[in-house]
Amino acid sequence: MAKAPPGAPKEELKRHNRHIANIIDLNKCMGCQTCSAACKSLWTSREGTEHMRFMNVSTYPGAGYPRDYEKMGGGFDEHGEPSPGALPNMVDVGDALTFNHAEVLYGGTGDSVHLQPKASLTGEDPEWGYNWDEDEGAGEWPNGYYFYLPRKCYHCTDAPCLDACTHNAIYKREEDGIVVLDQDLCHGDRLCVEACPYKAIYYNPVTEKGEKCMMCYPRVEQGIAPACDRQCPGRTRLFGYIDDEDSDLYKMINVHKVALPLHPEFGTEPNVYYIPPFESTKAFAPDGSITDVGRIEMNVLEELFGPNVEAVVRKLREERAKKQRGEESEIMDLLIGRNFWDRFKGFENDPAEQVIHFRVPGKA
Amino acid sequence: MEIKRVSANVDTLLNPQDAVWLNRDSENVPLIPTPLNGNPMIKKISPFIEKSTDHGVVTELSITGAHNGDFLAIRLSWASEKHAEIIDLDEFVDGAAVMFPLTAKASAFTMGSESDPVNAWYWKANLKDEAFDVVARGYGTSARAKSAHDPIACRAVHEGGRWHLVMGREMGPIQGRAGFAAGYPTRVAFAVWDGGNRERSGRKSFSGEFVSLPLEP
Repeated sequence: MAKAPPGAPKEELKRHNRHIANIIDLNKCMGCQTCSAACKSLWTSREGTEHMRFMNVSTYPGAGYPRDYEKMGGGFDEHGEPSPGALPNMVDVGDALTFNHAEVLYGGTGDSVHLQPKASLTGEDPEWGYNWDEDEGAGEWPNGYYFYLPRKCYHCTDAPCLDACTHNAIYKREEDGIVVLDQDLCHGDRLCVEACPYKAIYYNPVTEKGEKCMMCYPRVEQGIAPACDRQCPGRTRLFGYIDDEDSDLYKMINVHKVALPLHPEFGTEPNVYYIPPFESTKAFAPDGSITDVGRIEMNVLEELFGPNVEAVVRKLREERAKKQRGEESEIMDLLIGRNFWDRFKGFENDPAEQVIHFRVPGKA
Repeated sequence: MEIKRVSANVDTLLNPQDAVWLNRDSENVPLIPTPLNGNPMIKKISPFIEKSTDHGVVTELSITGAHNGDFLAIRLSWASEKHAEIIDLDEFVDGAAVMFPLTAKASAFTMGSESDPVNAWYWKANLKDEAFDVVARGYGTSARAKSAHDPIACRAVHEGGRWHLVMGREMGPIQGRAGFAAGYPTRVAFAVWDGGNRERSGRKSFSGEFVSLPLEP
């Protein structure tokens, strides 16, 4: 492990021999939240973690998750200098709303009382919550549009969280580049949360320490794909080593170059890639006729994935046209993913058949 | 400033509102923001905290000290609103520390070094009457000293728009920690964190380099 003591140079903490990566196909994500639920039930059902969603899916265009994270700073500027960032609060991270389930379901008042959410800190009506703006999207009627954006920690090659921590509590695992946060070294200063432009680190007010997605490394060590990836029913996910030349993941990122990082301008070299949504619902013309033009504006995609997205979208459309003409298209075959296990090369093991040893923070 | 010898028991010394403190003059120590921005040593530890410019809002600390021959107590008082709970995720608590060198060459500016460490008594407002015994060997290395029991006693009261905090310790020697003896000087530095200004870590006010602190025989 590229663990180094407090005071050691950051380069030591970033050192890694190989690196894992993800691809998420946004054309296939249906916003079902199975990935979020898989993650939540596995990692963040402890006291103090109720508000954390290491894996989350929000509607885009929208405020995102945590709310307005793209406006909170962090990461590096165009000169590679650190950009100071802000901290999200409990409402920004979607809160941990409570409901009067007992009253409605068992209180004998089911006919007259309805389910009522309460904000965790105030006990009042919530002003915001996870997926508060679900399916709102953008665009003018009748050409409204949206798509889903699943997000987790990007396990950045140049991780700003790691740079920010004065105690060297955050480091990349030497064997796979996964960014982990050592609970014993964390002082709960939240400098990492400020520095992360994706706001993928969360503060636990009970333990007074930070927590984050660790790419399910206890599973990864047993050759099992992370829970969010394996549980996805839409075959949107690929997971594996980014240098595994025989993998579908490698081909999409490095050969066909159709998978793009989110917000490359944050300067952190994220390792979760996206297939951009390349064909949205067709737009209506003013006279009510259906056009050949998709509803998602290219500038919306460029804001997310940078200037290369236009060429990628064009390429994906051309490849689909090939397939429609009955020609071969390796890119389309890769995107379809007929064999589920090709998407997790080297990580096909079944968690039910493995013994996974790991320590949950805060538990013996 | 001198640590006066008094005849008072530990309970009395630990009460920030006892007459043993209130009937004595205190010394005002000016505090300055820690030099983070433009500091190459800080940039190496965290290029993000190096960008800090809005920390260090507490500018003065009022200090008194006393010992009874066995127990050393230092009282700190400063003007501050009370930030003693972390309820929301972007909230921080007030804090204070008293730091001692463990060698003659140890520097308060650098929080000590590998060869010249420092020892600090560190209080956070949400810990109530508990304080950490900390050893540091340079920026970013502060860690709770490992021991079976924490030797630092403390009590804090917030009244009249000020924190009144007493931290103290048995004067007898503890391996790897600051030593104290009546009639001999020690050296000391102070730091304060304003939770309302989201101060934590290196973002704080401090008193500068160690100054001499004689203990009355």
